[in-house]
Amino acid sequence: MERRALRKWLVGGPPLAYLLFFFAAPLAIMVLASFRVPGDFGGLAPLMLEKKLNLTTEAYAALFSDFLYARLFLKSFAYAALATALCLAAGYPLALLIARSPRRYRDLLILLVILPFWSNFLIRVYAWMTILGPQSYVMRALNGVLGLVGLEPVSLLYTPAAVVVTLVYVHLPFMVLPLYANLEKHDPALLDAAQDLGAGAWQRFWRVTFPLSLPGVYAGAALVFIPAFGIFAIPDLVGGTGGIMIGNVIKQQFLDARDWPFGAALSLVLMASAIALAGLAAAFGRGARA
Amino acid sequence: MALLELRGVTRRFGELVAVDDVTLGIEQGEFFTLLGPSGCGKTTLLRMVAGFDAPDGGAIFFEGRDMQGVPPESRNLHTVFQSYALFPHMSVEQNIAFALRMARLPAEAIRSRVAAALEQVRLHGLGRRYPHELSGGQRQRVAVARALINRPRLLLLDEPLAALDAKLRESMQSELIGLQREVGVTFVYVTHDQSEALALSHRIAVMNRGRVEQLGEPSAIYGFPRNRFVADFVGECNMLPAELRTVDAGQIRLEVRGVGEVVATHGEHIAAGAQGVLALRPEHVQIAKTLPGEHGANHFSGTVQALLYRGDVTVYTVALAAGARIQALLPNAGPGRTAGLEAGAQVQVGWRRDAGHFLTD
Amino acid sequence: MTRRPAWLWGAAIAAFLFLYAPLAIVVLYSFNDSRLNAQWVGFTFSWYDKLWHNEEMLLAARNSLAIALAAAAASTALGTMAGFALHRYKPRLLPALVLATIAVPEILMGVSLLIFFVLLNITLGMVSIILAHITFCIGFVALVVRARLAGMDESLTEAARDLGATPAQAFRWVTLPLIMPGIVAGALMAFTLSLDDFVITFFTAGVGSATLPLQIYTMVKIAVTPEVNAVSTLLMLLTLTLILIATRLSPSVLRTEASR
Repeated sequence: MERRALRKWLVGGPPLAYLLFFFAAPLAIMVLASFRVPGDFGGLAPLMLEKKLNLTTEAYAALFSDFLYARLFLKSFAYAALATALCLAAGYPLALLIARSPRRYRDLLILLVILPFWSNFLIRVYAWMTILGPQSYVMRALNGVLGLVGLEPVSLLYTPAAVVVTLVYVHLPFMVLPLYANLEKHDPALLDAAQDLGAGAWQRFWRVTFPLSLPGVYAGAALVFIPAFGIFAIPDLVGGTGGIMIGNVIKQQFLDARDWPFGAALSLVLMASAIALAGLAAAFGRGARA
Repeated sequence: MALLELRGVTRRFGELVAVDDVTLGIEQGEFFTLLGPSGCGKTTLLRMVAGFDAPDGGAIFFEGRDMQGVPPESRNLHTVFQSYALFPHMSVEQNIAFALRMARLPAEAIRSRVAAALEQVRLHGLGRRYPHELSGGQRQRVAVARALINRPRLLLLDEPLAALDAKLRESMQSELIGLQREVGVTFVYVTHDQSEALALSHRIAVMNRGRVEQLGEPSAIYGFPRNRFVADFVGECNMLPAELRTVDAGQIRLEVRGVGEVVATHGEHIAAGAQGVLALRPEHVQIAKTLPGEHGANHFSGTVQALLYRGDVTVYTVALAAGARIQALLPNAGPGRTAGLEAGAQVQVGWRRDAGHFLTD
Repeated sequence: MTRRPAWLWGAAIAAFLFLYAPLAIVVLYSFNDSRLNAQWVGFTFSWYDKLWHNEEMLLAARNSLAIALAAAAASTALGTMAGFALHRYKPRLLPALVLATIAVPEILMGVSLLIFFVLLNITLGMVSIILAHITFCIGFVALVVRARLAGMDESLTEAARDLGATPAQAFRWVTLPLIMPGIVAGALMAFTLSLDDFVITFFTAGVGSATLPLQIYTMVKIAVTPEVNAVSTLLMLLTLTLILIATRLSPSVLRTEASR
């Protein structure tokens, strides 16, 4: 029916147009930008220069030739991976507990998990700056203990450790929610059957619960890892010079050093690796179902 | 001219043919029923008449106009949905008034007609209630009132009584019949319940796998089923494999496996040697210690195997001497009742010659 | 037999403490009578007072609210349309775009929009921020609205059409009232997301159009005073209230997060 097609465009058209213009187009332009030359005062040089198309692969060449950037990518990967693993370790018991709670408490408990997420991201980072600062009660207690054992006092702020802890803190709800969504659908009768057949508590977990929860694990891991990989505010605030991640370098290119093509190239490599990893996670998730 | 005409209507879903070349006409003022098991295409057909789906082949004519391309809101017919589909955020009054509001009737007219409708379906005083505060039977009546409010020429009902319990269903059935006669609207009713169809309808179309197997009045459908499916689906029926021996002026002789030689009737032209089935309704089968001899009747001897007591009737399973098992239905009270028939009793079994039909497909 | 052994309780409680303790500390120290977030000295409201007189902060707050209102309004309208289109017409491109806006790392969106605005000669300021915020809010609203529509009984819209309503009338009188709680929840979510956004705003803001998160960032980097704690506490309270209202209206807000 013609009229239905018209309605489809009237309703779906505006949001589609908006997203194409303000989301897809900028990303496409960024691809183009990565092949251009930086301007005299930063930003991008004109596209056409003396009737010649002003494109070059300089940015990518610089990226791949200098081992520094490869190391930076690896470091970012490592921090994000570690944060993901810790989120899993901390989040799994939480998700499991909520999933097994009586129905009427579950929504409340999940709400309690999500609420901190809704406070401003910077506040959550700042909170950890407070805790990890040398003058805080926590650090002083910690250093006191270290002193007793004869070790040097440590300063955790402005270190990679601070970055990882903050990453975990900020992203924990992202791990808990998909896990919970998966775990709450598990049939309790499965565990009863396993127990009936002689499986102990650990066995029941390892052989029944955990394998069934793998799709949730992969979803949570993706939701934590991908944002964490590209983050810059956290290393910027608590990482010091030792905890720099790829996100910081990107930010520098755009706002400090003003080498936009290079920044664009870095961003695209970041996006490509994120997509590749997401694809892997999805493949694992599908494989886990089999 | 028929109010609703279906000409060669076909609908396919991929490989599956849901409605297969259906042609029928429904007259003004009829209570017409589409009867069949689930998956036979009756609901698909109904949705196409309502306008929610379009046929792949054939045409639907309503009031003489081709309905192709006409959206549901422009057709002067309404539907009572199986789930009632009452708007949960509107009161009973607002639900019933909906069609009138869409037609932009003045508020005063709407109010008076809604009040009249509430009276008609005996929901007086419940106008302010919301659907979730009503019982199943009350919701059903709201759905009917809502669909009848602007006097459509045709009302489509998709198994409207399916969700009700047996007692309620029976009383709603009489209400529906009364309503239909009173209002004079043509009903097209869809159901899988054959006793309901027989009770309510002027005419029935029995459907199976997208096709109309038989179209006719309830007594014709029940008394003269055209094929095995109809005989078996509508009411209970003994189906005994048989071969045609001779045809002799409206009377045929069959060799029925496990029974013997049987005299029956068959309306159509068939030749000796045809294979088929003898369809015999249990209530036509007489059993007794001795049966009065009747010229031309089919008499056999057998043993009672089992009884099923159903309160008003008892269903006997009898094993005939030649081997076949036949079911007979006898009333437990009144002149037809027979005493002393327990399991193991030796009895005589018989039925009139026009009671059995020979069906070849 | 219990499926929730003691160690599980212990681990879960520890996780909850881990989640809330840092925030509690921030709130606590906003009342601390000391410049340093180190030791508890005494109770005071002075930081809130200072906040109230902080011109920069007030300007940032005004900006944030204005941006959030504008972005929420536009993205709710567009997002509702998107959610409806996703549910009813099942297009192919739109779902991919919507999911992409949510899945893509924020830094990418921020950076690409920066390039885009500069290329189009749009000055970076309130307008550029609002446009950017709308971009990432549409997706959230669309998903909430779609979830709400999916939970709605299809036969209700059919019944409306059957009784003479055009598709537009059916939407107005039947669909819209029934999904309204979802739309409002989506709007509240969009408002909160906009209010809280840091990364994308960081790249698309110009000089003089600071938002609250940007202001907090500057303060944290340069001059940390407990005023930061105070503004954080207030912001948390506001967000908390909004989200509680949103979940009251539409539990699917929670489900949307979980099913991402």
